[in-house]
Amino acid sequence: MTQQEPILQVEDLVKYYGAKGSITKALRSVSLTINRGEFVGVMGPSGSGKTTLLNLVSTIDTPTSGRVRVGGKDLAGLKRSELARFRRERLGFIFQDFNLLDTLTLGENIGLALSIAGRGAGSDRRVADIARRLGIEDALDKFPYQVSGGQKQRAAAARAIINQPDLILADEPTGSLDSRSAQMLLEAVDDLNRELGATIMLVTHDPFAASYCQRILFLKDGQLFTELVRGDATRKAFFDQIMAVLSLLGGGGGDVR
Amino acid sequence: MYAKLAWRNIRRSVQDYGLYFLTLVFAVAIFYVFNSLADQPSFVSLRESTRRMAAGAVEMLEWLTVIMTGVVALLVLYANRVIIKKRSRELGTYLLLGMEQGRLALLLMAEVTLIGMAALAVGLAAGIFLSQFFALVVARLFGASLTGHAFVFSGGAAMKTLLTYGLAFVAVGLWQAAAIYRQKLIDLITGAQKNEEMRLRRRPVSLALGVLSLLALGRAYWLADQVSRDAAVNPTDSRILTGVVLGVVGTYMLFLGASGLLAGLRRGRGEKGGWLSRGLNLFLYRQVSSKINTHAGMLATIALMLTFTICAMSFGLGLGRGVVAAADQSTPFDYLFFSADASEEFQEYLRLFDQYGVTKRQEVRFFSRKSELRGKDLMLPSDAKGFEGQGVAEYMAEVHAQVVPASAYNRLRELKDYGEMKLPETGFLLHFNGKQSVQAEQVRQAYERFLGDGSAVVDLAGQRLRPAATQVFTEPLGSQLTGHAVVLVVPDAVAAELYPFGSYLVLDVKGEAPAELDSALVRLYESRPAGVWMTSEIRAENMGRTFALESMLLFLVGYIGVMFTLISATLLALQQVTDAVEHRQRFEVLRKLGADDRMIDGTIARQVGLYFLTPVAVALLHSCVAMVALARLFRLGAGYTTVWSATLVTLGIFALIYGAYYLLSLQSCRTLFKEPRPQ
Repeated sequence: MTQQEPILQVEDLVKYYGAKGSITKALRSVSLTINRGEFVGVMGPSGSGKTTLLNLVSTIDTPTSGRVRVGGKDLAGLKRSELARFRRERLGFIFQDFNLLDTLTLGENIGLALSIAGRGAGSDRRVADIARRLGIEDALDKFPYQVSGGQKQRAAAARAIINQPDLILADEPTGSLDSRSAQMLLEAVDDLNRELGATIMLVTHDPFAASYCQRILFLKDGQLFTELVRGDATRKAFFDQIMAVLSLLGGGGGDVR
Repeated sequence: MYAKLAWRNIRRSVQDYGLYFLTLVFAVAIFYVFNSLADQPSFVSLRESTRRMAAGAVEMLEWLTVIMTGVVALLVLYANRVIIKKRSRELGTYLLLGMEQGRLALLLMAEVTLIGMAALAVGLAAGIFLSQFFALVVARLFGASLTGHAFVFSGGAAMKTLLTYGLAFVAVGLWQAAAIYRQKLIDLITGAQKNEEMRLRRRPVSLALGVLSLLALGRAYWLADQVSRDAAVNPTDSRILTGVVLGVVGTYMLFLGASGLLAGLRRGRGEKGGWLSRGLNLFLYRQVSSKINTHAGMLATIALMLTFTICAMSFGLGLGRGVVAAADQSTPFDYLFFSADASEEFQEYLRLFDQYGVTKRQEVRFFSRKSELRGKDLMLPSDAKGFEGQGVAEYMAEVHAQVVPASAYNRLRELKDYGEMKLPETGFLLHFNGKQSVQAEQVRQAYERFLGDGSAVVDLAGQRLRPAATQVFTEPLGSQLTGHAVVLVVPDAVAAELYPFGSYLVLDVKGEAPAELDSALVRLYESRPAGVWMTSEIRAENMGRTFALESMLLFLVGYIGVMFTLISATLLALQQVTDAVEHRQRFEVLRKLGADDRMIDGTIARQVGLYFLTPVAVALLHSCVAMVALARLFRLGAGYTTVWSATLVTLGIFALIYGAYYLLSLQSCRTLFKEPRPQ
């Protein structure tokens, strides 16, 4: 952790939903920074604003006020075409429900990100590289419905990193996986972080998944509640620390697996 | 990759929305078929003057096709909105992966347009194919002559189809693209998760609605029955409007209150439930009643559209047939001219036939004679008395009989191969057209009772004549000769003693007479001297005019009917497919609970079936009441008895389209509910 180059800077971010009379304050005021190469978790009980934060960072939604900077670039100032370019060059996404296109094979799904970015040439080799790294090279010619949830999610992870984005955003990636698949995925993501230096922001309510992170931000009622840094602690010790914070928060929970 | 993506998407669209595609194909085909009407051989063979009239029908059809294209465009737009809604997550993914929104809009436009073009191509081919049969149907319906079975292709109609639908598809594609361009990413990503709102009505409210609807419908049915029993119906009768309004309102309330009614019914059956507790029936019941509940408005609209379709189509078909039969009846001979001026010899008319080279003709010229005998003098006194104050029947009894000499009568019969009637020197025959109305049939029966009475005699010109047959002859001899008055056929010697009533010229022509002759005859007839009572019956003109007028009605209802059926079936099918995701989860749960494939297949079939059948059942009930009323009305008014066979034809067409859509949407549901999905 010697690099201190900020990749994501969030300043005083506010998001209200709804019209007059019934306003939901999803995010009240959140500021945070994620540096290049970090693996950061965002936790909090349901309704704490995790997903809203992710949506704002990922340009899926626009904030009521405040600013988001990725790689020094203010998202608010981006035009439509710049936004598209920004998404394909700077961001990678992994969703709870994989979000693979069921008309394409896993390989084509991964390659799609390349061809949308106009880097379709020689994509097969790169797809194969990434697939090998994630252990799904045998499933590349299969359609999403023909493979397991774990394989689907690793394909989604492959698609997310193939353009070497500045920031990978993962929204409950283990949410629909069994524990073994979840573990495999998390180890793969961990590898990506260590070996390729990918910056990862992982939103989860699962303390086991969170225990792979180096730093965890806890949200409560749309505000930053506390921050937990793993440091040199073992994953087991970190897990216990997370559990302690969660019980303080009054949400989440789980068992050591 | 983009091309591959678009291609894969289209393939899947065709798979998921095959029914929607099929509707587009049908719509295009029907558009072509109806627009090619002007080039149909039976249409081309029409006489010039009638074709001019028929042009009015064609013009009307053109307006109708424009309106229908608009309706189809709306359906396409709706279908695309549904499809986009279902695909919103996928579209959001493209954007997340960094596809530019403009590019996505283009991709979608390409998809919509390509599917449209494919439908256009297939539909046009189907239309050209179908129009061959259409030619036969038109000919059959209107008795138009069809020379040979030449292949019919209307370039104009094809061009028009391509232009109209091409533009419609491109317009919808553009609209779609614009909609996607304006769409926010967050709505796309979360759109798929938004469940349709469950519109729950409180049970007492829906029960009250249900009961109210039954009352309204019952009242509407009763009104229909009452109105149809009146001998003379006034179209502005306020009961008709009240009945229709009650029927429409009642139908909407019926669907809105259906859940309440069903629940009431369930409770009425007692706690044991019986049927419900067996197998997946409770699940089925919940599925269907919740669907009816959420889509009440749409289902009621469909039921009303179907009612309109069934009534209009069977009525239109029936009326078309009735009118053609009536036209056939009123003009059995190619040409019939009558003049009340007994000195008229029709020389100018005959000269025209020669002038146009129509020499192969059979002529019958004769004088009908006056008599003092009225219709009622040829009836038993009790019958004659019974017709007093009975409108048309009374008039028929009061009007003077027309006396026709036996030789002329037999020559007329010979022209039409009706067979010769031997008449003894002191005999007479009666000829009367009882088929023109219900009243006329009663009058005919009265004549027959008179003939059957042993004491029946007629005194004419000092001769006492007795019936030569106990039967009243009814073969068509034209409306001039056999209208309201009875024809009294007497020996020539007797007829010669009476004053002439009028002069007749009847002609049958071998083969086809040139249309110019008919036009010339019409002009000549129109320039007849004022003050002389003349009539002219030209079969080709008459049939053509009938065709032109009735084709307007027939094509109008036929077109609207087929399109309404298609649109209803498509809406239902689309609904099924759209709900599939939600249902898939439910069926998966059932499978996990241990329901086997057979049970699930059966439930799917019954669910889709019930969903399709509910509006049909309501529509059939409505139509039944309406058709009974209409049939009664028209039997009283005119000689119109074919309505039931027309209804059967309509139901056949309807069942074919609807059944096909049911089977297809069942198939697509089954594949959708089954994992894994085949590619």
